[in-house]
Amino acid sequence: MIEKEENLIRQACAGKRESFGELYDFHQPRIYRFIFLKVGNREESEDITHQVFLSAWQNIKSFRIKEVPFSSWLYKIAKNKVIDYYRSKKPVSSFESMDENAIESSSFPELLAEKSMELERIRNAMAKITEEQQDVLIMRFVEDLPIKEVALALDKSIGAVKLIQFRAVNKLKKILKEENGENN
Amino acid sequence: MEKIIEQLKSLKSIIPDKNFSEKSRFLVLSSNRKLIYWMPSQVSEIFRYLTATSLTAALIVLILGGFNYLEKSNLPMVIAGLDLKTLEAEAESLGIDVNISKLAYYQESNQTVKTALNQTIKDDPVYFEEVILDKETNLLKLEDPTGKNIDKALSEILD
Repeated sequence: MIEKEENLIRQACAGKRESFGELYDFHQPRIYRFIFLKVGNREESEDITHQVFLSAWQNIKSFRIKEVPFSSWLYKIAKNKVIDYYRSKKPVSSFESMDENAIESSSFPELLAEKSMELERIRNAMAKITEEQQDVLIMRFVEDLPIKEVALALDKSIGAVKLIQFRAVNKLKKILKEENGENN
Repeated sequence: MEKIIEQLKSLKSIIPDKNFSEKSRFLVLSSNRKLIYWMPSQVSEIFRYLTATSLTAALIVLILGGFNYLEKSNLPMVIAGLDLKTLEAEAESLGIDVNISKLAYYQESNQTVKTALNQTIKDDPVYFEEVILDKETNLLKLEDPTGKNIDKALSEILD
């Protein structure tokens, strides 16, 4: 994908809409998921995702292929849009205010009830870790992004991302363990 | 650890609505892009450097010009504290003023002391005559606290 992606970006920079369309198709579900996990509301997530890609399309000429991967650039835009969203609208934690019907809605018909409950548990546990730790966990384990790309997206060093990831996993493990203890 | 990662991966089940994706894609691609005038990075670097240098130079000229104006200007709006000539003149006149006031004080105090002494000698000179004082002391016979004359005078008063 990387070589193909570079060509697509070059073509998109030159104004070829179809090329950006391909980039959109590949990255949009990931960006949407990232935003949804941060915002917790399906409609708001859709709005922000749309804004991210609109902004990316309008500013693609300012993107430097050799400086940062395209995915990191998109995540950076998404992160800033989410920050803007919270600044202007809701000062509450995204996970806590998550749309209860979002996962069970028609958007996710493949999810079984059991799986949905499991998802709910993870979401609740994620709400108890910091925003930064949430970003790292989503990018690393939900989206399978390499550490370097996560570091570039979050403007951090690779070492810092590793440390955040280590702390986040341990904290999440502890929270889930405590919740299991309470349930049993 | 593996279980947590597995649980996190299950969040991949979250996918956007197809209708939304299609509509958003169409709207994004049909929007016009911003016109960005391309400028090579080296040119923009030089431009930034020149802007910074010229702004700094302008600021320095402004500051120096301002001080020069304040120094030379005779307008009443000039700050007195910044005028060196005025400050020097004030410092010199301060020394002269101090000396004059000292002389005046000494002259006045000499006169006062002289007047006071004359007045004292004139009114009650006895206190200043050591010889007289010694004589008085001897007359009182202070070494004999039980003077007969005093005892006599006291018994007369009591009777």
